[in-house]
Amino acid sequence: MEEQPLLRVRDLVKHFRMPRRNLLRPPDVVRAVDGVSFDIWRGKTLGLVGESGCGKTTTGRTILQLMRATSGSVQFGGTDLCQLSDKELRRYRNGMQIIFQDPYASLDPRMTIGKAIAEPLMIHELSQTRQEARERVQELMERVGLNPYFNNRYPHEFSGGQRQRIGIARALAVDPDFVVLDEPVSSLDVSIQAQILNLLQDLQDEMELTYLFIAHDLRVVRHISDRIAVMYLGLIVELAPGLEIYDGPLHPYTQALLSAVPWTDPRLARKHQRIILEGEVSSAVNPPSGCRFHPRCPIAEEGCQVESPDLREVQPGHWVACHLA
Amino acid sequence: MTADASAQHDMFSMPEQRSLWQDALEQLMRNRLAIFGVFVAFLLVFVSIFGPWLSPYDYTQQNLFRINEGPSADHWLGTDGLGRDMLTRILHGARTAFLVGLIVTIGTTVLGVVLGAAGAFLGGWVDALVMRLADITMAFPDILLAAFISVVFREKVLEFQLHLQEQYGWTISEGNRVYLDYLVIFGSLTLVQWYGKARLVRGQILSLREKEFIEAERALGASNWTIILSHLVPNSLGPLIVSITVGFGGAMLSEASLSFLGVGIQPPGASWGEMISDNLGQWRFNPHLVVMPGVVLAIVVLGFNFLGDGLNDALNPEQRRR
Amino acid sequence: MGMDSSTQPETPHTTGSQADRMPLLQIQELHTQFETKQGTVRAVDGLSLDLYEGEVLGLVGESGCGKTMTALSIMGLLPGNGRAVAGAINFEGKNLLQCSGEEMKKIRGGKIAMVFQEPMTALTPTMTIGRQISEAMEIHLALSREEARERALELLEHVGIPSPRARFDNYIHQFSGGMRQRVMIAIAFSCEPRLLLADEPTTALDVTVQAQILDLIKQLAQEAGMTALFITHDMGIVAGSCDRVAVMYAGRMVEVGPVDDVLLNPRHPYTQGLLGSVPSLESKPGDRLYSISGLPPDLVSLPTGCKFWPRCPLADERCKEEEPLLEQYGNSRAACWKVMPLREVLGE
Repeated sequence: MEEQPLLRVRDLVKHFRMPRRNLLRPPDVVRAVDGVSFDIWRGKTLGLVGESGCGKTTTGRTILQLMRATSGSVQFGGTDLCQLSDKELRRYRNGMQIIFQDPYASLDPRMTIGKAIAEPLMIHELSQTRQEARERVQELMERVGLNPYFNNRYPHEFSGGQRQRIGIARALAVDPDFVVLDEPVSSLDVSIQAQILNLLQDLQDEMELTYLFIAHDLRVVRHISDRIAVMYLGLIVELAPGLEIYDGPLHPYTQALLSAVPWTDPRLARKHQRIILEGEVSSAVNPPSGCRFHPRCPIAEEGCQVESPDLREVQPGHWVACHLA
Repeated sequence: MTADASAQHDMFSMPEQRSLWQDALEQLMRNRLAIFGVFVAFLLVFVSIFGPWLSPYDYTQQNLFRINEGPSADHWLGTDGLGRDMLTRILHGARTAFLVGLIVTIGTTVLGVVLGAAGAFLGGWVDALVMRLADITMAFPDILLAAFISVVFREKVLEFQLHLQEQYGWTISEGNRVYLDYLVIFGSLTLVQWYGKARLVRGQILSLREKEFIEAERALGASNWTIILSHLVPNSLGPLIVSITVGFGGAMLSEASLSFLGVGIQPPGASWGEMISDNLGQWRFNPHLVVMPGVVLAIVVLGFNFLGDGLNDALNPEQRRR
Repeated sequence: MGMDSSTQPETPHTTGSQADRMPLLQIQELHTQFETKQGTVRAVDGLSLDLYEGEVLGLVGESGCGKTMTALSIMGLLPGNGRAVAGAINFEGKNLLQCSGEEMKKIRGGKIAMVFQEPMTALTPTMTIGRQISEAMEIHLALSREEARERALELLEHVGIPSPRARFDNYIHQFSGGMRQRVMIAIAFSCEPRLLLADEPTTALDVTVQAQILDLIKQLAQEAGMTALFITHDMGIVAGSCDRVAVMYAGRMVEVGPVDDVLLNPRHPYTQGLLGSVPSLESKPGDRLYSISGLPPDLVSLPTGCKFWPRCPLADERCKEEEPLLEQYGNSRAACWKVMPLREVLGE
């Protein structure tokens, strides 16, 4: 891959301070994202998977500077977004967009959907006249499969899938290069999920969009991603081309995660030996020493408790952070 | 009901966009109780402006030969213990009620929005100060505190008036003395009733700020002003307008209570509360003297409450088309 | 393809071991409705379903298809203005729809237990979890307080709560999502019910925790020889955990049969669509998913004929006019005029 990546994330860290519980002790710090690096090339999709609390959503928000990073850099088309002021950032916002998980919460309940879709056009002054904006809204609604006739309706009059289409239309109104998709289909019914996934794929092909697809459903991620990064407790533990990770996962966490995927083929389900992980995800306030996965790892050795493994390239393009892989 | 907007649906042309306010007005006009509220509000405004010209009597004009009368052709609602025309006094009481409602509402809204928004946006010690002030005000019963403030306040106002009189020879005619009472009531009620709106505004802003759709706006690159004007305001205005409408009725009720207790409008000024307390002695013989101002007060307060409820529904699109 | 006219639709096909068993639970022509301002919502619309002793049946469908309302009808826990207006639910010789409130109280939690999707809303926040488990046993099994406590501790250990003695006096908010679901499972199993209804028990959980919980329910049900109704939207959960599966659409059943038959050879276009909507291990990245167009119907004004026709790629005039009944095809039954194998639909 000689070409420059569109997005280059380096050592991204986001810590949250918890409210003080004890005046005599320093406040707890949640290490939500604790040094994450990856690249995304133009027109490609990186799938970011992990269980709740692994920091995948925070990673997405921090990249877009909706939350400011504690440290690290986010190079977007050559500019480090972390160095920009809020005001400067606003001008970059039409290049990068986000589609949220909950289509119920991410639309203003008191704004008609036509207005909501027109709003980004106004903000970035993309339409010169009212008529031009109107035409663009109609075009966008049709493109995402909404009937423009309903532009005067309020969000609550639409189903979850339709609202997700509204969210997509808003994000695409500014003609972005890069879109963070934060669990865009996980709150939708199965048949609607497929509709939205197909729409997202078509739009990517048409508009040469670059996606960061955040999800916990490994079936969906496999379907849509070119490369996949697996996160655990604020760190990437494995990063590889999509099919490679499913055919030969190297990190024991990835292996466990994949073995738990409920594939719809009953023969697979029976054949599959599930790796049941012990216990639960440790706290991000006091992550375990050494490899953060060691307390639950079925193959952990003594060294794993001491030294934290670096992400290293074990095969071309396949990175893993495990001493034993 | 969900709108069927699937791709294969026939495409219609796109209708013109409508605003939230147009929709709300249409919705409000479909609510019978709210229309009653609107009617009451308009009537109150009309009467308080034109009241004095509607009746042949003056509200202070006494006729000691015709006291405590029942309704008759010259005195439609009868006369009180000093032979003053009841209807005229009720019409005049409407002016008091409306002015108090209006000015106290403006006062509490300005104070509440400024303090509440300052607390929410600035946070830190400003927020703490505003909230503690609100807590302290809230810790006292409203009427007691208002009565206390108005007594203290009245003294100051009278002192000041005397001072003006001595220094510059400014005098206040007997008929205009009632405006001093107004001033006292506005001040005391505003100081007692601001905290509800401050807490409301602060809570609205704090909860809206955490909403995902506000984050979505930031992601779109909206400036702070765009977010405040097109999202924070419309979303918090609904509850605020409701609170203003209901507060309007509340302020009128509080004024009546203060005047009933004798620390509000002083005789011969006309206030519904003052009329009730004035005629209380006649309760057994001429109950209409007490009932009439009471009923008018109740209808007006009820009207504003209905209007508030109607506005609440109308300004919340999720209540519609269900 | 085509209809197998030699089999009778009335007798459910069963594999050899099930043939001689009587159904433990028999739902006959159940109609559950809600009255709303817009009209009558037909949440369950003529559902007939048998549950055999010892089997795990998956009830699959999308939101609003009536799967949860079926379970709540069985439990007699329909919310608000919902009512089972017609049909019968036979359980141990009794029609549950005609049982009194008192009788249902005894059956609920005793003979039939339910595990909900959200333990936080299904459990009392102000009572320790230990009390909640032992109280159920005191009522239904007539145990003394001490006995109930001992058994509750055993149960908590059995469902995999670490150091149950220490956690006995904790409240539900002090547990993580997976542990809450374990607590709820312990309560459900505490009175050794004959029938377990699990409504999306793992939907709110992470993938790895989901696998733990599914395995736990399966293992406990097997140990106790319990019959279970698994309500889910995820065909993957059905594939891994159920013996038979029933697919619901718009309040009725469109397909039912053994898991292997239905999932590997779905007959109904809706089942095919549901399966095609989930990316499989065989699909290649970049492939388009087979998606069902449109939206589920409005339950107040259902379409005529087959309820699926507005979204069905195969629908013709007959489908719009006549409602298909369940017919036997191989080992499974489906209600469709156009039944054909999946391969032809996908054009392979």
